[in-house]
Amino acid sequence: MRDDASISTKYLDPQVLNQIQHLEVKARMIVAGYLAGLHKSPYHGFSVEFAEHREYVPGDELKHLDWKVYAKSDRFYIKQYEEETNFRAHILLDTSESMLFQSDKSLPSKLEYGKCIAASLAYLIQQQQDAVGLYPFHHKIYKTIQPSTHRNKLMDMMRVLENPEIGKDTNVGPVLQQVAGQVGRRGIVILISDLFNPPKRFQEGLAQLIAKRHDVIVFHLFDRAELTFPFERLTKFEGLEKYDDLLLDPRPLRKAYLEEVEQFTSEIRRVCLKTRADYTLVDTATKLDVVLSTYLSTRAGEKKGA
Amino acid sequence: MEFASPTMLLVGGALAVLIPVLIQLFNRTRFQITQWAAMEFLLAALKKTRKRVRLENLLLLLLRILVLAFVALMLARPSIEGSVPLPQKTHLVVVLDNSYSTGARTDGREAFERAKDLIEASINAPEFVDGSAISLFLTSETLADYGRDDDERTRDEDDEGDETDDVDVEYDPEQEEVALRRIRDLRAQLEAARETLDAAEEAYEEERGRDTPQSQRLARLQEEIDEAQAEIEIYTRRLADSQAELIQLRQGAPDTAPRGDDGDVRIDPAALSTTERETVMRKLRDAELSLVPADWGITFSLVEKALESSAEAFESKQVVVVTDMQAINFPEAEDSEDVDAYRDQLEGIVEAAGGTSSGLVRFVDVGGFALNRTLVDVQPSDHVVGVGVPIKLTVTVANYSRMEGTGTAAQNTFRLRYSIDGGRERDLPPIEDVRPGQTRTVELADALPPFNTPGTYVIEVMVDEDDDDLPVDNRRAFVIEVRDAIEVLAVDGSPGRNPVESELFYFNLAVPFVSNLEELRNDPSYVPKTVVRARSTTVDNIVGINFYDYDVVLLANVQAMPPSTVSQLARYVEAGGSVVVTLGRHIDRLFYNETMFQSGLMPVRVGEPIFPPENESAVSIEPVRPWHRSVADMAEHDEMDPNAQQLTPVRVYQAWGVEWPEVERRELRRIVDLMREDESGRPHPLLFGSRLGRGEVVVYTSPLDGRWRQHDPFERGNNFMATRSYVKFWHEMLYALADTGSDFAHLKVGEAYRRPISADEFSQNNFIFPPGANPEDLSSGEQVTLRNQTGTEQAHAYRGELYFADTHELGAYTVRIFQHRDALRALVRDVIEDEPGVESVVRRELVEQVTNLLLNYAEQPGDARREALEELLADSLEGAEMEPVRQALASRLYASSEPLLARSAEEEENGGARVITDRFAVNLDTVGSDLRRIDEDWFNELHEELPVTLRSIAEEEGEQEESFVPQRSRIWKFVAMVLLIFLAVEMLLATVLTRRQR
Repeated sequence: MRDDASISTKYLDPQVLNQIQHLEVKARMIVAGYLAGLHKSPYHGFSVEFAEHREYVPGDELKHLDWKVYAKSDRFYIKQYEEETNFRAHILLDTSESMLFQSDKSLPSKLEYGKCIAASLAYLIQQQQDAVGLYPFHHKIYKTIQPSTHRNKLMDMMRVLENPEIGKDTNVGPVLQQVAGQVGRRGIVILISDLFNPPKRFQEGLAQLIAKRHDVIVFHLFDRAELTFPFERLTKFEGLEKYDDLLLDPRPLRKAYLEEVEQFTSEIRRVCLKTRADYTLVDTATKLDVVLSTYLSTRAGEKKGA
Repeated sequence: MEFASPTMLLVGGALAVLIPVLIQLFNRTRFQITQWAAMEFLLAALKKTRKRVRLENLLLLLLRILVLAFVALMLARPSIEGSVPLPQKTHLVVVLDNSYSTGARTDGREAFERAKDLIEASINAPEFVDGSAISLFLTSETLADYGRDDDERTRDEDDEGDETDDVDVEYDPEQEEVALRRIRDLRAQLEAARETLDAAEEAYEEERGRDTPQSQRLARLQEEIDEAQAEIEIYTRRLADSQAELIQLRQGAPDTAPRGDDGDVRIDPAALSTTERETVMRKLRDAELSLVPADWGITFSLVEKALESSAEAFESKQVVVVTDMQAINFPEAEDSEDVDAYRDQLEGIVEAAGGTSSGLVRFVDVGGFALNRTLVDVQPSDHVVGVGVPIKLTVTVANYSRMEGTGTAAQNTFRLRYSIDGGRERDLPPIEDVRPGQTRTVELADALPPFNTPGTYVIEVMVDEDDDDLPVDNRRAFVIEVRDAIEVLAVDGSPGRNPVESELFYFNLAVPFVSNLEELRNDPSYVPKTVVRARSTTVDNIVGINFYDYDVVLLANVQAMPPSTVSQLARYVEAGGSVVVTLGRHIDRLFYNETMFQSGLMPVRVGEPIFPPENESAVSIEPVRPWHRSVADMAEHDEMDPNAQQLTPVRVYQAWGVEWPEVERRELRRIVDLMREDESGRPHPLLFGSRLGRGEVVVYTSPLDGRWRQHDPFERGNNFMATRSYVKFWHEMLYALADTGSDFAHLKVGEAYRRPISADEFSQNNFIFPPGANPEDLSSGEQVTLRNQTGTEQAHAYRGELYFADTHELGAYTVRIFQHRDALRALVRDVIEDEPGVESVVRRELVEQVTNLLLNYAEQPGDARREALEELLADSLEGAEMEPVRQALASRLYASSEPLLARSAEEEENGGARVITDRFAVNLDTVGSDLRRIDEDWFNELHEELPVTLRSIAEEEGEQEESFVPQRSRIWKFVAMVLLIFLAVEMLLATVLTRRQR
């Protein structure tokens, strides 16, 4: 890991990241950079933690016996580790057309950014010996990679992420419901999407996930331009997904547009708050450590709560 | 509301609608393209704001339309009851050509009136709001210049009464008058110097053109040219100084310093120039045609000064020259110096106006004419005429028409008439067939009937005025003096033992010979009647002779004379007499160089004889002043060498050299030069003269007899005096000298009448009656005062000058001098008191004059006269240095031979006052009558690279109706301004709208 530790934190910058082609490399860079930047953080060395002891029952693997305890007490105790909590993370990545929007060539598109989040989280999670699964979707989940701690699975994930299927429509609500149905065990659901859907539908899906006691992290992705609407000249807006082109003068619209966006995001935020989902608004210029921190704090909270 | 250019309103309105729409459409073609994901929000926002955006767009369109509509409105130059918007504060300098040629009628209207209308329209044009200024200059002097309308000036002062209180106006009309006179004098001197220069240059060119040019002569001519140029330079500078002074004087004048409501005093240099619109309008309406030729040089320099003085106050300046484009006002094509000077002046104006935009100087052509017939000149054979001698006239007429006329004009016949002293008009023989463009000089023998009564007559000659667009140049007047005889007193300095040996032998043969030189010239068989009456005497008998009985006194080889006789003679010349001195071998050089020189009877001192009798070689003689009457015809009709046009070669056997004075107050007028030079390279004059008071002295440096007795006097090639030329010469000379007054009596219009006044004419009551006024009615005359009684250098010491500047009417003027003793007494006292620095010698001379005058007026002879004189002197003269003067006077009082004494009886008949009547004629300078217009190509070449445009008055008048902007030179500025406004409004709108969004 010495090599990785030497990698600078600059790879957390989406602008820098945007120049790297290979997703797996990207993910490693991000995680390595993140960890390098956090070497004094309280999360340091959390990877495999001792949880408790329990009495040996036949069938348990012998390698987990705590021989020191046996020497003291002459009893067989099994060391129970974190990994054995069987933590599962489900990453849901929106690959609908709207995610392709990229206002600035130096910044990644929303999809690119989402892929980075997904890949780096997957990498990080697997590094922690947890299981991670991937569910790319647009109007439906078109590919499922079941959570696994296996490295081969991670490579599969990367491959899927490299070649996402772009959908013409988004259906966050039904997708969430579908996930809630599929995923039996309790875990962390990480949703990466611009959520360009009616918030009500989103709320319904979210509610089902919560009902199954999943921890939900929402990364609400925006392009910087979508949040600031920086257009000064007459502009022709080419609609993504189902929308037609629109030629208009953006200046008089800005105020109303920003109001609309604000209203939308606050609604989403409200929904998340209500369902105790973790909500993070991210734009494509945001450094990735924010994303990773969000995940890890959630992870820590989950552990405490467990 | 009225619009000066309604078309602009239409055009502007259309633009106002079109341009914003076009902008909108144009903008819609220029947009950026971007993909957009958050379309939902955009649509929602659009839905929410659609109404407001639409409203805003409408407002924007409306504003744009309004801006353009406003601009269009401005361009249309609306006016609401006199209040007018102005693009710029303009200083408009208008030069109005008021020379008489602009009085020519075209299409039934005088060009001058048309020009005035045009200027009036310009002044009333909406471009000129308050703050703009107009200066009006006339190119020629007019009567109105001279403050003649005192009433008007008083009225102005009243009008402005309160406002002028805080302004210290130091304005003295008299000073202005003085300055004006000085300017005129300088102009006259300048003119004379130019003539000299021209003549010298002509002679120089001629000499150079010969096969064997004489280097000495060339050098001398070059010297003359240099001198004349230096003189011109001096006069020009003085003229400029005087004009500046005049301008300063006039700045204090009440009616040239109008004040605007803002209290801002704007002063323009010339009297006729003013920035106040009302005043300009009044001046414009009052402006009259002048008969004086236009003086463009001076007008342009005034224009330049006016522009300079208004340097900062105005945003734009423009010069408009309204003229009939006579070629005479512009330099001729080949004369590069004049061209340079002219261009320099225009460049000065352009610089003063601070711009080079085209149309800065605009010539407006008011010319265009049809028919003009002109009486160029009428000259009698002599201005002094014997009783009963028929008068021959030389008439020059010119047909300056540019096309064949109709009616009588079609026959190109000049029908001439004349009148004597304003009496009945009589016909003269007509001059036939003078085609357009032709000039013809015709001699009309026996044109006028002989006069039988001696006296002064004014004769006016007229050309028929039918079918003439410019009648003002159709008449001329001249004055002739009819005499019984020309009385000559010949003093023989070397009588000899018999008549043949007499110095006067040949003179006496020659002078009674003819009365009509023309007949002599043309018809050898002519038997003349004599008009020159010569009386011979000797020096011994000279004391006691009354010189005033003679027109000319000839001193032939006189050795010397008593000093008293010399001073009598000098006074006689100053009063108008003439003296001819011939220098033979008997003369006493000391006498001539001391007594005669100091009395003024010798212009220079006599030097060494330059041709001793032994030397018989011929010398060449040339007329230096061929225009002098005594030699003018000689040059033309020299019988020795009819083709040479010169008095060369002839033989002169003896002549005296002269000592050239270094500094000479007296003017030396060389008439004929000898081609023999001294060390300094100066040729000695054979014949020269100078003015002394009203009279003239002519000196001939060779004896009258010479070696004549050895030759047949009528033999050719002997001596130029030994021929008929000799006879002619003496007659020309005597006529010229008898006629010294005619120089003063014939003036060009505008030229000042200035006549040296003799001491016995001193008076405070001098009147001049313009043509048409009755000399018996004193109220119709103009009182003139004596000028400069103590004299200037030009006026020859103490003699005063009768001066009258206001000669702006054509015809004969009458001068009447009413002489009273009381007036004289007061005058003398004034002079002495006013001039404390007068030299004592001048006082002495003055007192001498008083003595003479008192004798003239004495009621009783003897001691009473002396008492009267003593009383006057006690009053007038104080100081020890006057004692010898007094004594000298006392001794002179008893000189019974005083000729003035004889006149007193005659004057007593006139109620104690002596009335002297004189006349002079004022004629047009017809140089402007040739309505030859400047060639357009030449005009363009002349103004190449200068911001000068030429437009016809028709174009200008058209432009008054619908002009786009006031001046073309400003159009780009104006357009730029409009664009700037538009841009500013656009930017303002953009910022306001976007700020609201943020």
